[in-house]
Amino acid sequence: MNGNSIGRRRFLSILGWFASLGTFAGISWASMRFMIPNILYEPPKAFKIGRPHDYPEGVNFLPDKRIFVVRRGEAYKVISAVCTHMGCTPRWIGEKNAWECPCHGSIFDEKGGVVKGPAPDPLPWYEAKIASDGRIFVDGRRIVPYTQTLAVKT
Amino acid sequence: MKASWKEILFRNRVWKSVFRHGYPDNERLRSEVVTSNFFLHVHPVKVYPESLEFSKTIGLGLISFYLFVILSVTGVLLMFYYIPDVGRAYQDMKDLEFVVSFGMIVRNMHRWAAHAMIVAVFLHMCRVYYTASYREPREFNWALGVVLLLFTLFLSLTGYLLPWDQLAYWAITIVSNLIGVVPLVGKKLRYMVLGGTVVGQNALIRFYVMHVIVLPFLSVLLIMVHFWRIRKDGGLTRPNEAVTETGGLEEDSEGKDLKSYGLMNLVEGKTPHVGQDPDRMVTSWPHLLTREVNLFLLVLIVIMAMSVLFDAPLEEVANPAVTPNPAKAPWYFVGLQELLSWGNPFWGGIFVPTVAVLALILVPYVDRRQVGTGEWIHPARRRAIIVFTVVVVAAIALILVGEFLRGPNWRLYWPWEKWPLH
Repeated sequence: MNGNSIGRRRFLSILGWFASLGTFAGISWASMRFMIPNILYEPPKAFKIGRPHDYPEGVNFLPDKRIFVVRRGEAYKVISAVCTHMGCTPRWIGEKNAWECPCHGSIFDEKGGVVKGPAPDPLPWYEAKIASDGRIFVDGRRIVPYTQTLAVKT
Repeated sequence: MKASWKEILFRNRVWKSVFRHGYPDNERLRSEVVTSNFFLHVHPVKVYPESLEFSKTIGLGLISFYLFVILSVTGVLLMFYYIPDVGRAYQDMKDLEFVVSFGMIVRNMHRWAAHAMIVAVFLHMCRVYYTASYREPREFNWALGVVLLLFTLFLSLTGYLLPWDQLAYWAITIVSNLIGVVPLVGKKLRYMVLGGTVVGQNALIRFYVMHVIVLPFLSVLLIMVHFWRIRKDGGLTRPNEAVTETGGLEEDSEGKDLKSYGLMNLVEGKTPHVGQDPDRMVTSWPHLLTREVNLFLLVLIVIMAMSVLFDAPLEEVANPAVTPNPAKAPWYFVGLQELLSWGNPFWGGIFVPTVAVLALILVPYVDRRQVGTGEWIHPARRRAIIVFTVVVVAAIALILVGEFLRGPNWRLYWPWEKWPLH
């Protein structure tokens, strides 16, 4: 054994350390990954609601879907009913023309923008279309600007 | 024929195979009983009389431990009836309250002991701070204590979701969104904690497993280390003068072993320590042990009395569509919620708590003085005491404001003001 090369013992020792640490690193990573579910049995993010004319003029709360359907004449919009701060359900206060969140007091104007309180982002508007059966199809994965409206011909 | 019942009971081979000596009525047996008994050997054989004074510790560490014991026993009982399924959990709670014999009492004991444990652990920390008992060589045990305080909070939090009522559901919704605020990994972490994007079945079973297995197991482990370290770090802190009057201080400060592990230190008269500390000390059996048993009985009585007198709350079944107004986190997190309502959730939700925990852990590494160790509120520690007191008062004030002064839409109301009804 010459001075520069590592001996057999030392080589096997290093190999052993790498193998052991590698094994534990792998197990740890796999365990972490195990904890992240690949499929969810949660309510779908895209869904159909009623027909446009089921909803009267103004702001309609759909508790099952946690959205508001806002109708102004024949123009429809859908906005999230989940506060962007801590996930509570804001309430529509008609007299103030605003949504108020009960948990931390955030207030959103009629466009969903934050007027007051700790909410970091405006309430998102969701894409709404008319499905083939005439019902409104809401896609919570697609966020649209306030200006985008679902217009229904009468 | 003449054998008394005592002799029949205690002077037989079976008894002696379990307990290898007679009743500890002399010093030698009293030291032997502690060292030879698995459950007692965490105790020192002898303790300083001043360490037994109630005002020394107010028994807060032991009270915390006893509450943990009560929580473990009642928790296991509750597990026999509770099924962590979103369709059943709430019904099981109702059954526990109205159908199961003594179910309500067991549930109440679990709830009140949990609240009491948070208070006891917190006060225990305050006691250790105000008596400067965290100093060298006890720095690491203080850090373990801070971790145990966090474990206590996590245990309470994970248990809070299990009844699956409105209170539980919305408190956990708020806290889970708090996790989402963590920079960079927040959303992923929240996804992993909840096992999804909403508080649902995955979240319930995760909280359950954490609550009944993971956190209790880790807590027991840390509690054992915490106790072990008390012994290894020299027992309870004593004011220096109590040591000096017998000349023990110099040995002590040189790091020599004054602890009474070996029998050498124990037997009166014939030791190298004649006339010194070991002479002054009293045996743990019975002086320490009777106090421990009495304190346990007291804790048990108080928790049982509370459980008979007051019922744990159970609101309507969890409903994701209806947020209660106001929706509040559990009281021990309501201070955090109050802080959160002031603005950017990062500062109130993550920055302040993280800095607070780190600062707590660093306390003994920053404070390297020795003056006032083992004494309540020593005047030489004036600045340290003021800073700590301000932080404690601020934390309590935040909780009080969030709990009692916040009404619908998180507006300020005085307690005597009526909340407007929507």
